[in-house]
Amino acid sequence: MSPLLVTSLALMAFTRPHASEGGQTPDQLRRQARYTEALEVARSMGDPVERAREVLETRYHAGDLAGALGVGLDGLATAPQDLWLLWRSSRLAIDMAAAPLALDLTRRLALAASNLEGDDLAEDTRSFWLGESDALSQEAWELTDLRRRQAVARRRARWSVLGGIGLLLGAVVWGLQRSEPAQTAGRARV
Amino acid sequence: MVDHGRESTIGLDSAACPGSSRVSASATTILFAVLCAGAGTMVVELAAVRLLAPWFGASTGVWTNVIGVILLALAVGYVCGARLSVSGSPDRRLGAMLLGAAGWALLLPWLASWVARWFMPTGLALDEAAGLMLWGSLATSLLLFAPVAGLLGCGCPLAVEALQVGSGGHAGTAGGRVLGVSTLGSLLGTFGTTHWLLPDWGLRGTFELAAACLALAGLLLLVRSGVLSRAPQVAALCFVALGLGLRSLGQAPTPGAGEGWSLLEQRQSAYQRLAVIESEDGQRRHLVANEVLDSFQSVWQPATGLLGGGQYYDYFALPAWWARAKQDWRVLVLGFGAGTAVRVLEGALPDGVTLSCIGVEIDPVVVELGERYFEMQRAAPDRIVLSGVDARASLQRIAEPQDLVIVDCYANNMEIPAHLCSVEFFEQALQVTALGGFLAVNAAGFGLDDPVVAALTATLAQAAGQPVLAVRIPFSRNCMLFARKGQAAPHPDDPNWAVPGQVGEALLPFLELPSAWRLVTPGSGVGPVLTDESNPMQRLQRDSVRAGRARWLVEP
Repeated sequence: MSPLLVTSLALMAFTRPHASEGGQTPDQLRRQARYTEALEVARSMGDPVERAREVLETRYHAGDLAGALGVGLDGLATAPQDLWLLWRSSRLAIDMAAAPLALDLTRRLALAASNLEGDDLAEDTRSFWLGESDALSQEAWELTDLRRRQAVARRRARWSVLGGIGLLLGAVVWGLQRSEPAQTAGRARV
Repeated sequence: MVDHGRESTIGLDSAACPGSSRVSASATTILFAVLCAGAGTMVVELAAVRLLAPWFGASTGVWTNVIGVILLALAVGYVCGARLSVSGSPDRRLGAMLLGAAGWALLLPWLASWVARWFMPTGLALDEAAGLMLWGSLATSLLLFAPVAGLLGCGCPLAVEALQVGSGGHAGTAGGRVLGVSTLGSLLGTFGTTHWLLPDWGLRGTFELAAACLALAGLLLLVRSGVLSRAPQVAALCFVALGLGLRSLGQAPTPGAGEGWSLLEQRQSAYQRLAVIESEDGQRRHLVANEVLDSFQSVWQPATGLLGGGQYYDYFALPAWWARAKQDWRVLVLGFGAGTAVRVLEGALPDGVTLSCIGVEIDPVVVELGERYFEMQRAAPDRIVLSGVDARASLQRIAEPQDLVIVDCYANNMEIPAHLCSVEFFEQALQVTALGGFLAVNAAGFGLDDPVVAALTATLAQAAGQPVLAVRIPFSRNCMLFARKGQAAPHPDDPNWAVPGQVGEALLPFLELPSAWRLVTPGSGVGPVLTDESNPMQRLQRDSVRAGRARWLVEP
């Protein structure tokens, strides 16, 4: 089964279409690049989790990654175990290089995905979520490792600067110490 | 009873000082060595930034670090040289210092790669690397350039001592001669490095030539002072062998083009290090300036027209549609780069509209690379490129009113020069804009509230005297500002906003979200108004990075 089809199945399992007054769902409006209208329809949804999902998706498609992540985090405050919000928010956090957040979200995603065992879901769907969770966790770890190397490099640079300045100061102290001046030697001979 | 006057005279009389036998080199040799040391100091200082640029960029902060370290090391060198000068043979010691400095200068291009990588991990984005750029460049400068500057600094007091003891006369006379010749050497090094060495010899060649001059002066001193009188050829051969050995290792390592990209050409211009890289499939080229992070100066793809994928250049196409252009569309691009904006416009203007363009680019090498790799045209009568000209100075040479003036002026990837973001500058740019024409400004920042974007918006609105549209470019860290001469800029609530055709469909929907745009009226106070007199752009850019990190790199 193709990954695209599995993704679609997974999304269908977690989202239901919502129509606007004109009969168009946010997804249909997004496909027509009518983001403002899609956002309006999404915002009018009653269920806070579904609203968060649709607003996140609309903002994401409209190129507002930071806004989409903000919506995802707000949605997760309402529904901390929502698999779809965790999945999308994890992806956004990784794309925006927010390492600690990505690590936290992917951990929660992994936990939520592993809890699917008892649910009445198709095996393909379950394996999709577990696979996504693993892949995102890996990316989050790589990002965290990069942050760690960044912090190590910064510390190393600061200590090197301190060490270098210390050495230079030591050289200055050495240079300023009194040594036998040539003039004294000359005067002694006079 | 002690006769203080007599004692003082004897004390300063170098002819009576037995130390005179310590100096064998002639005054001419010593002054030649001083000239070389002065030149070498400036060559190392100016080329040092180029050496760091692939990892840390060449921002004002990096320049400050390099200059600061060189000055500190020189000061330390002067103090240490002063102590070394009171015993032994100062000319011999001066020769040894110059040889040491020469050897270190020869190694610098290779050492730089190892040291810089230690402080700058690969894989960071430009904004993430901002903090490391300052600390990393400071640490790297200390490890790389302090030794050579310190050794050269030691040379000055040694030369003064050698000159005074060897030639007799007053210390002031010797000091004055050394300082004068040293400064002349620095002058030669300064002009020679920027205008001759770096462009013609390249970075490694520059360091090799500097090392060769220092080694020659050092060897000459050691030979004349008797240290190497038996085997000067052996010492010279050793130095040449070291140089050839390093050269045989090939190019000094610099950051690669990145996974999936290959390097087509790399050049040193008078302004920056430039590299043209190409994607594996040959469908995209980037012109990269200085550090190889995630930013680039120009982009090319085989077809003209919109680039897609959140490229801010695409949005320069909108004004022609908003203006309902029918025949000619005259565009002035300040910060032309390799001509990306023009290639976008060539394929994205309304049907039947003819583009004529004047591009202004301060770096002639960028223009050369643009012609070679980015299909930049400059021979056609409707494609004029003013190369080697400052954007602001060029405005005085624009006679014909322009329908669109594009301001895309960045130095070192992320710095907007202060004289290109003031009310006075925008007023001058609007003077060459036709009535109803547009001024479009690329403003890099993390959103419409970003300190830099807010300040630029407020400044542009003040200059235009009309409401200015600020939009956030989707999938990107860029914003764009649009001002229209004599009227308010169009905005999503404006009936003139919508434009027919593929360009409007491809670009406008992203800008219509309420959070994606802002109309700023003059005096609205969204940010400080920048002027030639008061322009804290560097502070604003630091604030921008800080605020961006706080916003994007949100903690759980």
